[in-house]
Amino acid sequence: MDGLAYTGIFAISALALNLQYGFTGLANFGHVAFFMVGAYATALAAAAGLPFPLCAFLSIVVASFMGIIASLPALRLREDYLAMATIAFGEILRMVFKNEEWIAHGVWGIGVPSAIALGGGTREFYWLQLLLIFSVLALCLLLIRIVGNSPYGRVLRAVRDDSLAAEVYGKNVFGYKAQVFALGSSLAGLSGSLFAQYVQYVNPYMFEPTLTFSMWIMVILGGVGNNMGVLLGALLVEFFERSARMAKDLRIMPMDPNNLRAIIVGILIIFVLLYRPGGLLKEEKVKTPAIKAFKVARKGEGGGEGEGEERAKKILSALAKLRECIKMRLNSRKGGTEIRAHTKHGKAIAKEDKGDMKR
Amino acid sequence: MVNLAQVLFESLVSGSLYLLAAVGLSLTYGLSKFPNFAHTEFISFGGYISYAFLVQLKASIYVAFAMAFLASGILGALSYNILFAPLSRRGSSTIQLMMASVGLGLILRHTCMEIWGGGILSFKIFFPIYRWPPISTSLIWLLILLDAAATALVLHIFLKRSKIGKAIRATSDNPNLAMASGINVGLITSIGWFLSGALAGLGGAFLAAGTALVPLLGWKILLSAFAVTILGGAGSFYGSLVAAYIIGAAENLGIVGLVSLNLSADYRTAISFIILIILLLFKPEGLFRRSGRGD
Amino acid sequence: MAEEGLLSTENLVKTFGTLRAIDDVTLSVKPNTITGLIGPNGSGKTTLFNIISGIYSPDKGHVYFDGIDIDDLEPHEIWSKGLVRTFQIPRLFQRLTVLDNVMLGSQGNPGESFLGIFRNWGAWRRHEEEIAMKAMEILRLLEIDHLALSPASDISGGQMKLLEIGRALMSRPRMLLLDEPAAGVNPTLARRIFERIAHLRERLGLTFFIIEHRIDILSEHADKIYVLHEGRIIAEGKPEEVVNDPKVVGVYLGEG
Ligand SMILES: Nc1ncnc2c1ncn2[C@@H]1O[C@H](COP(=O)(O)OP(=O)(O)O)[C@@H](O)[C@H]1O
Ligand SMILES: [Mg+2]
Repeated sequence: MDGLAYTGIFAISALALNLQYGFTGLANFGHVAFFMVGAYATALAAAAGLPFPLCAFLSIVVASFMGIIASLPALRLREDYLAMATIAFGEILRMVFKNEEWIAHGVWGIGVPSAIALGGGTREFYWLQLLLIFSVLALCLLLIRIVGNSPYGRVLRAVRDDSLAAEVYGKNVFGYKAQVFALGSSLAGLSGSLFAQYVQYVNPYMFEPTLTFSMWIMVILGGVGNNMGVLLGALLVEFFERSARMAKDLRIMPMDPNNLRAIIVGILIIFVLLYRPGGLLKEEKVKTPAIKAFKVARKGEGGGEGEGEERAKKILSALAKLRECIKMRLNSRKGGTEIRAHTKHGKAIAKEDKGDMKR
Repeated sequence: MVNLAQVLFESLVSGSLYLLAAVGLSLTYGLSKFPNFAHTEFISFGGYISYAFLVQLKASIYVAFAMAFLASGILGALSYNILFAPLSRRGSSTIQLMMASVGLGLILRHTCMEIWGGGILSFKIFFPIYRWPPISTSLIWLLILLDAAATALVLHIFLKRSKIGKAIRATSDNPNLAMASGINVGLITSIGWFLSGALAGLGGAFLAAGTALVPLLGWKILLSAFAVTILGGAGSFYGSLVAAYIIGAAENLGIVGLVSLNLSADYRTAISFIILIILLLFKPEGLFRRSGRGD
Repeated sequence: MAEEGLLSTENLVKTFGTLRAIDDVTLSVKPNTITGLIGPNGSGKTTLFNIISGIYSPDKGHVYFDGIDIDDLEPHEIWSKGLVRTFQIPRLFQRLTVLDNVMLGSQGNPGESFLGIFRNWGAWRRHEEEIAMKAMEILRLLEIDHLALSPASDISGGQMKLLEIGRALMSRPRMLLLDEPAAGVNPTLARRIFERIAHLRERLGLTFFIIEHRIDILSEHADKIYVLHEGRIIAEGKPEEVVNDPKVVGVYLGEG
């Protein structure tokens, strides 16, 4: 139960990181800073008596504001420099929360009321928490999917693959990066807000850089650029965390389970990077509208209105031509690149036998 | 009243520690072109090895420090050959290499914690304190100064005079050119990683002797070491020498300023972080690098 | 100043350290022409394109496009004026499909802004369908339409060059800067590419400025050729004049 809640909370942050790194190629190593800002914003706003939705909203605003402050000067940096700058930024921010007791009692931490106005510990409390966390997660996922599969998302991937070429082809690369940094930060802030109200207490030690790394691990493990993969990654990391703690309670391990967990996670990262650098799940085939357009065309086939039908017909004919071309090529060559195209549910899938590829 | 002489002296000591921590980092940054997040674990590892020999095996301090040097060096070379070299061969990006080093760091740190426990270990050596007004110092501080000076000197001679040293510099400057002129780049890079680890291990031994041994020993100075590396220009040995003392001085003088402003002395490390950020933003090639061609 | 050229440069200088990569270059490309740029390796051709397209800012001198001084503009602003370039070594969006690569070249896609995704929900979908069709058209033109849905990283070097051109054509350019469009493709295709270029100039009124090593093919189509050597223009004129210019011959023979 507890584990699921944490999975949900951290999954939101990891999704946000995936939007930044997996989609856009921004190496943000200070992600936890925005999570922390969100958590503290909720803590302070709740202390001032605001209801949770308002607190969460404030967290989003403050975190994205912080994201903009941090990113505007830093976005033009090379990726390793960006990573170091962001991690240093996060640590400075954490030091401020630690030492300035007037903000939130420094190292003593600050209590946070839960969003669910039931005493903690009861079954209903947990269920309601899960409901809250997972509906927010679902919303975030929906948002990211829409963004990721739009032309906007395609531009983000272009920026990731070659930001110079994207710039030369008319994309305001700096603007896109700044937007994504702010968006990712605001989602991290939101997840920090959920975290604060769930744990009902925050202190600066909860936001060490290791937390950033564990979010990174969720992304790398699960699948860079693949949202479902990131969810899987979050689940895996949280699972290790839980089993380690469980093993500790049961004392069934010859070695300290915490260490074992960290070592296993370390080994996993290395193995994934070595043998499956894209993560456990591969990057989703970009379902950018090019392919969707063909889908629409299929739909239009069965009774649409005038103008739509016209369009659909054109696209269908393009699709047909595409298929024709592919067939022709297939017949005209043996060996070389083999392309199989089949239309299933209106989706044209071209597969290539990589074994035959040569450059 | 602030004892300026003492502050300057302590700047020298922290500068020396940073030097020991950062020359190796700078070396591998130059050779392999990514910041090694596990570098500080090499430092911790050296601390633990020296502890193991000194306290657990009751060896002499010289043996202990020599073993720290060796063991961490081997660790460095192994990490390159088993992990980073294969990753680079498979075309990993800088970020992937960085993440791999984070993973390696996790493994190293927690293996150390598993073996030596997570608590604070002490060397149980008493270092005499000398007082030469206005300065007072512990013997270990003097040893740290000595070690840093010796390291700097030996490295200077090594890099300037020896064949391997020259090859390391050539590889770091331009690996393709180095390869074309017949240098075995893989071997030279391995040696570089060995040296990097070894220096980190030695530094760790001193650090552990001078303060105390905790598992997060290395992590605390990682960002400061990055600051030194960037300030000096990644891969530039002489740059990082000067940069180490600049950062050391900035932190120690900064504390004086912080205290007079009624801020917590805990912000000490923030000083080098802020220097790091400012550098990255405005002078990422460092202070001592001739402005070369863009990447 | 800008004579009657669509694109012109004025006393451009660009140095890298001590190297004067571009040294006082003044040239002009008339509208609706094909202008060639040749010169030995390392003579500064690509650097000149990098300056024109806004990747580098010149140390001295100016670049005018359609009468406007563009040397302070960002590359994406220059692109939106209709001045579009390709790269000598293809710079594709490797993990996207060939089709997506081409579609990314299109102008004014309402779904490419964050708020646009939500505000123009219907509009960008319609737009997508249109540009998908147009992109397929272009791919067919370049004879790589069968690769539309494979990742750009999986196609051959020659196909990558074609895709570069396709992405540029998608941009509805007024003028194209092509950096060695026919390098690495087979001779027959190279000829066809140039025939296409000539065709596009006529049909769409495009202007071309082309770096090319195959002087023979270039000469067949170019109206004018500039020769760059060590950052300087050493000859200009009609293809047959330039090719027989003793200075030019000397440079190429000297290169060996
Ligand atoms: N970014 C750069 N930094 C330093 N030197 C460069 C850079 N870009 C190009 N050069 C140098 O400028 C000269 C011209 O290069 P380039 O324009 O690519 O030649 P071309 O395209 O004619 O073969 C070459 O000597 C090259 O090494
Ligand atoms: Mg060139």
